[in-house]
Amino acid sequence: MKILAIESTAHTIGVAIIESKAKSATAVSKANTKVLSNEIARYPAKLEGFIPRKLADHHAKEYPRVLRAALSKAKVALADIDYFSYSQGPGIGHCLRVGFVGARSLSLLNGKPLIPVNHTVAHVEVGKWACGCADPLVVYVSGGNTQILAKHVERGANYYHVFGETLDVGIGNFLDVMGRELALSPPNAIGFLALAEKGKEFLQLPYTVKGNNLAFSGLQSAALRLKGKHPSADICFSASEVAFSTLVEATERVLCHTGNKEMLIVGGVAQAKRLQQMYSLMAADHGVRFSVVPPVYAGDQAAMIGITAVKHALSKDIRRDVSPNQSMRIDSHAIRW
Amino acid sequence: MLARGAEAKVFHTTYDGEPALAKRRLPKAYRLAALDNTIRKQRTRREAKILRAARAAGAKCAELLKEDEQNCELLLKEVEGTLLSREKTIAPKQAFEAGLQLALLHDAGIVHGDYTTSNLIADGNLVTVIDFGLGEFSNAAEEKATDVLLFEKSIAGRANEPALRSHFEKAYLLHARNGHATLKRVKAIYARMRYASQSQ
Repeated sequence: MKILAIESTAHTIGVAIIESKAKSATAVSKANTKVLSNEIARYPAKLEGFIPRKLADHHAKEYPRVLRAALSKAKVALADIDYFSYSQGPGIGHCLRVGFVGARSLSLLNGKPLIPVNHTVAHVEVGKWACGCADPLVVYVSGGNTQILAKHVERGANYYHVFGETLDVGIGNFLDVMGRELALSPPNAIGFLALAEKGKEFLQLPYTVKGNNLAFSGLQSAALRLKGKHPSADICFSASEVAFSTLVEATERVLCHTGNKEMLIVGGVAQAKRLQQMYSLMAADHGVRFSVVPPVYAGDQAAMIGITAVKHALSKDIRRDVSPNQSMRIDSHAIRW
Repeated sequence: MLARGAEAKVFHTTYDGEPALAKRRLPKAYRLAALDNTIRKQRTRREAKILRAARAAGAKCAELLKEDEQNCELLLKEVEGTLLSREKTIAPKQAFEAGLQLALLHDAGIVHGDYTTSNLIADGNLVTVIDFGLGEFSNAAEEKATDVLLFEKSIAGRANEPALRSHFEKAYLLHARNGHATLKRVKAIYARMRYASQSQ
């Protein structure tokens, strides 16, 4: 089967074409499911942050170009597509609507079914597909999300249970705000992490772990109070050490509780080198196989939506309610594979 | 070695000729040494202080025999029973007891910080609270509510979750001085969590 997938939850509009020869949802692997194309256009980071209306305008303007590029790169015609899928949520309402309208129009025009995909589930699925993990403890770290997840049976069905999560902002959001407030270049997590590597002096900052849960807003306020009093590099270095340490500590707690044999980090922040290093040390200490989602599938893109849609199609689990949903949680629906 | 938690290892040892448990916080390779040493010492010292205060308040918890801050080690008297998280089914009476113990701690100005079924040892219907490693002295509604939330999250998915939750909350309300305010705060935390549903 061929699936066209659209991603538009936040700063990225993406279109991907996936081809799968898998016989069942559980058999989906890199060997039988290929990404034919995975095109994206990303809204540039600016000091003003993300303004939903502007993001949506950007996506609507870029969508036709990205769509054509994805089709021509994959050498696939719209008529060959069996399913159209898109990110249903969670995300920014204005942005979700662009992807939804795109996917729904294509589905109606071509008379093929529409598959809504939960963006959070897609991050987990693409990581499992790319790294060949069966049942990992997953740490999903991105701008809006910081969750420690594992498959868990509840009410007679499988769910991605959230064992730990942030109680306020996502870790990526925290890194982005730091980058913006310190006016780094680029003014986001990338600028922040680059400068953190140059820090020398470790400054004491509040270290918050609430059981398996985390909170970053207190750390953010405390770190920003040091602005101007210490070199920005030291602030970034200390804040990232503390933030990542709390994250790894919370994950270690969950790992001791669930006893998973594999660990996987996914999402945009999974690309942070220091975080990967900390996790690999922790995983080695517990004798757990550790994988990081490859960079192309770390940030938001549409291939992950397509791969998840393959699993939905093969397990005949296609939601009827197709409307975009800003506040979808990963544990709100059962996983049928 | 008896048990390995996320933070510490627990060994069998003796104290004054009697069997005892040693809880040692081992260095974490992933953490910067400066940060790691501060955290481990701070937590060892604080845990000892809290254990003494908790026992003085009448809560059921392990007896502290000796404190060794330099080696980040505490010597404790052994507690009989099984971990509540390892129990196939948790009885509502055990959840009630867990609520009562939490109320005793909170009224003594102690928050546990990791109040899950993995840190409660059940012996019949009696429940002993262990591992005050993330504990703090605080009367803040937010911190107390976090304890309640952690317990409720740790019983999530169990077949009798609603009964456990109601017994736990009932005991807490009956015994804690500001029980109502704390439970109200729990609702507020649920509401502000990322993408939380309105019904929780």
